[in-house]
This record gives sequence, structure tokens and C-alpha cells, in this order.
Amino acid sequence: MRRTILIFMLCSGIALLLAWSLTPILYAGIISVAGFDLPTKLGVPKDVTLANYIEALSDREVWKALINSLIIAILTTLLSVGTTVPASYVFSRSRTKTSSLLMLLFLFFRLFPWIALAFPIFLVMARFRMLDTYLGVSIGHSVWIIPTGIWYMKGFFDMVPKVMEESAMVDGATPLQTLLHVVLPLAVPGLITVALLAFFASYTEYLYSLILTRVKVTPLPVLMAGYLSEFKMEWRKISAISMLSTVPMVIFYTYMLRYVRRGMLSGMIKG
Amino acid sequence: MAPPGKKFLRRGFLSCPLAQRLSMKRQRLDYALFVSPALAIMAVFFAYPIFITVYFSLLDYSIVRRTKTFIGISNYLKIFASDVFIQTAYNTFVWVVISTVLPLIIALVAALLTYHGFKGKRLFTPLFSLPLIFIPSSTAILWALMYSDPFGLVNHLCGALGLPRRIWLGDPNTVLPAISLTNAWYGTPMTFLMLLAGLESLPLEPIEASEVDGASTLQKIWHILLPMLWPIFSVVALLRLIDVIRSFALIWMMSQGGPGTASLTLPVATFKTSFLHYDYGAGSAWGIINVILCLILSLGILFRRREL
Repeated sequence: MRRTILIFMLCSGIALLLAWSLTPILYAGIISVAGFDLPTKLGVPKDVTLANYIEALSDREVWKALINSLIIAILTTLLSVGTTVPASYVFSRSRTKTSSLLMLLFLFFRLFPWIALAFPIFLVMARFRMLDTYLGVSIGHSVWIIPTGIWYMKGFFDMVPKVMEESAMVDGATPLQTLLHVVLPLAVPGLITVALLAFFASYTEYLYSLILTRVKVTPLPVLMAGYLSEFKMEWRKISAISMLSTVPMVIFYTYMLRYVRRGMLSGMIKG
Repeated sequence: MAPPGKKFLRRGFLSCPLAQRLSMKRQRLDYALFVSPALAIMAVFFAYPIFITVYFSLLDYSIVRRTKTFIGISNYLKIFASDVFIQTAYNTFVWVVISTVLPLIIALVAALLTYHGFKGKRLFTPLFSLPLIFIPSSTAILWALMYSDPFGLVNHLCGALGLPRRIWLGDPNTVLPAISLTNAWYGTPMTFLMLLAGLESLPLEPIEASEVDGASTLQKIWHILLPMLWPIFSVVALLRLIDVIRSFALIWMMSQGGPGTASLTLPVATFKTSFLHYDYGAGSAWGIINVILCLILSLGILFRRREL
């Protein structure tokens, strides 16, 4: 008897937890396939249709915003990986006071409130004539990714044994050759992590995308947020767009889940 | 330097002290070159803007009033004395409490359940983490739909339970809790994954020993798992706290800080002052207040990290 009660409590607990996570997703999913009449009472819509998705996919504005988002995310990834990898290699190998001080500084940057710099970064970008350009938004995103990326990447470099690069150095390889041909191939998981992190941090970012773009390079998050302030909302269409915007995120999600299985997330908390 | 190996000795040239010193110098130069791109970006787009913010926060600088004069710390004094600041501080407090405590509790329960194990655990983790695939703008749309008046699920439920329907995001009394709940929903999966990873990184011996000694599941959780998890839990909680305090997107997208000042939190107030009221002096001062708050909390993380 006690066992039955326990199992019942366990099952209802799990059901409650799943309901917490899934209800809004399911509801938006239902609305996104609803036909002409939206339910004004509890219940499923009368007719089910894919018309909303077709309408969303044939909207040129949405496509343009998606492509802008992807270009910005790729540029951000290149920029932050390109600067993060050599820097964190040095931080991992050098034992000087300057390097540990800089690492501490990067930890504070990681936890810095973005909003405080929104206006000055806007001014700096305006001075460089980089407002409403792909490069400008990417740099704005990279500034927030580089500190985090350096901490992760340093962790991965710390795990690479030093024996091999020492023998490479003795053989006369320059530090750049050592990094590219000896150390980096052993830190590929770290490279992938930082690249994914940069890509999706940029893909989801809102504040800097909002202030650094006008019309030309508006990315998807800004376009979607714009729908919310419209007077009359097309719930079916924008639900469909929210559903479609998750497609690239699936890669990130799968990677995060695999992370946990390998026990690597705890490194994220400590790093 | 490592002790010289065979290869090292074979090259007589490299073992002479001058060449060694040259190569050390060369290495230091290369290292400086490696760090410089990252540092250059951080200097131009981070350090310089911080400098500008601090400087502007000491100016009476407004496009509307057409002023740009040095006034010392009056911006700060004016902010601290204003009603908006008291309202904002209170709002930030409510926002932080709901959207930090709620996901931490839910995620902890889910993580303990998953760690304990049950049938269908492999399916539970990905399903429970599903909100991760939404970007903040989609989340805002999802929940604005949930709260919307004629079509929202929350109002359907209220109708079914005989409660009055409301415009949740348009009512000063409900707007902040409603958006906090959205933020709690959005933050739960990440907190869950971190806590689960933390649980799985714990050493197994004490847990197994308690099982051998016949501890019940609840005793095991209360006396063994939770105390062992505490250092990780506190860092996860602090990280979440900082993320919530500096978060801007959800509130801005769902209510723009309104109606009135009902959902104005620190970052939203900062944004509004600079970008909507064009009062750059006061906006920068708001920004610096944000920075100080986050700095204090990151010191907390710094101290906790030592124990990990």
C-alpha cells in the first residue's frame, strides 16, 4: 500500500515537472497549426492546417532576418574563435602574474551587465561607421563571448599534456606552428565547444542586435520581438515563426545534453 | 623548460645560452602577439566604453536639454532620491526572487529525481530540457500568447476555474510576476542540467556507504546528497542570480517596463533613460549602479569557486 502511494506520488511529480516545461510549447504548437478560428475557450481548434507555416516560410522578411542572423552568428564565431584560441593558449602555458591577473579580469567581464555598455558601444560603433553592418553587430556580440570563451578554452588547453609541444619546440617549431599542428588537434572538443557557444550566443542575443542594427542587417530575434509590439497580432503566424526559429537551436540542445552525460558541464560551473 | 632530451643534445647550437635566451625572447614576443587580438577588441569595445560610461555618469549630458556639463555625482544623488529608483529597486527584487528561486527549486527536484533514477529517465531529461531550444524572442512570443486575453491558455484555465480573466501583461499588479514566471520557465532547463552534472560528478563512496547502512532515500538526499552538492549548488545559484539581475530582453520584449513603471527593473531603466529619454548622463549613472551590483555578486562567486 505504501509502495503504491509512493509510486503514485513519483509519477504525478514527474508529470507536473513535464507539464511545467512542455505546456507553453504544446500550446504554441497547437496555435501554430490552428485554422481560421482560434480557441477562445479551453479546447482544441476545429480545423488543423499547415497554412500558417507556409505563410511564415513564404515571408521574405523572415528569410532575410534568418539569413542575417546566420551571417552574424558565423562572423561572430570566426571572430571569437580566432581571438580566443591563441589567447587562451598563452594563458594556459604562461605562469606570469600578468596572465593570471588578466584571467581574473576576464572572469569579471564574464559577469558584467551588458546594459551598462549599450550606449557607449553604440557611440563607438557610430564613430567607426559600423552601425547596421554585419561586422559591427558581430564585434558587439564577440565582446561578450571572448571572456567566456577564453575561460573554457583555457580549461581544454590545460588538459593537453605539455610533453609533445616541448619536443616540438626543441625541434625548432615556432609557438604558432606548435599551437596549430601539435596542441590544437588535441583540443578539438574544446574548439567545437567554443565555436558552438559563440554561434548560439550570437543567434539568441537580443540587446546588442537591437541597438546596433537599423534595417539592413536586422536579425531574427529583433524582427520577432517587433511582432510583439504590433497593435494586432497574428498569433497563428508568429507561433509558427517561433517554432521555426528553433530549428538551428536543435544542434545546441543536442550538444548540451551530451555534455551532461559526459560530466563536462561541471567544468563549466567551475571554469 | 623541461630537462634536455636526446633531440635537444643533438643540436649543439640550441644548447648554447645565447641561442636559448634568443628563443625565449622570441617565444615571449609570439605569446604577446597571440594575446593581442583578443586584448585589442576588449580594449576598444570594452575598456574604452567603460571609461566613457564612468565619465558620462558625471556629466549633465542630455540631447533634450542640450547640455553637456560636469556636475560630479549629482546624477547618482538624483537617481537615489527619485521615486523611480525605489520602484525599480523593489521591482528588481521581486523579479530576482521569483525568477531565481522558482527554477532552482524545480530544477533541484528534477535533478534529484533523475539522479535517483526511474523508468523513462532517458526520455525525461531531453523532454524536460526542451525549452532550451527556444531563443528569448520565441519565449517572449510563447508566453505573450499564453497570457493574451481572448486566446491565452492562462485565461482559458482561469475561465475553467471560475476566476476572472485578466490582461496579464497590461495590469500593473500582474505584469512583473507574469514575466518573472516566463523567465523562471526559460531558466529551469539550464539550471537543471548544471545541477544534474554537479550531482553526477559527486564521489560515489559516501552515497553507497549510506545505502549499505540502510538509510532511506529521503535520509540519503537530506544528509548525504544535499550537503555534498551545496558548493556546486551555491555557484549555480549565484550564476543564475547574476544572469537574472542583468537580463533585459524578456522584460523589454513583453512589456517595455510598463505599464507605467510597473515592470521597470535596473537594466530596463538604464536602457530607457539612455535610448528613450536621451538622458545620457543619468543613463550612464544607472549603468554604473548595475555594474556595482554585479561586481559585488561576482566577488561572491570568486570566493565560492575557491572551495570547488
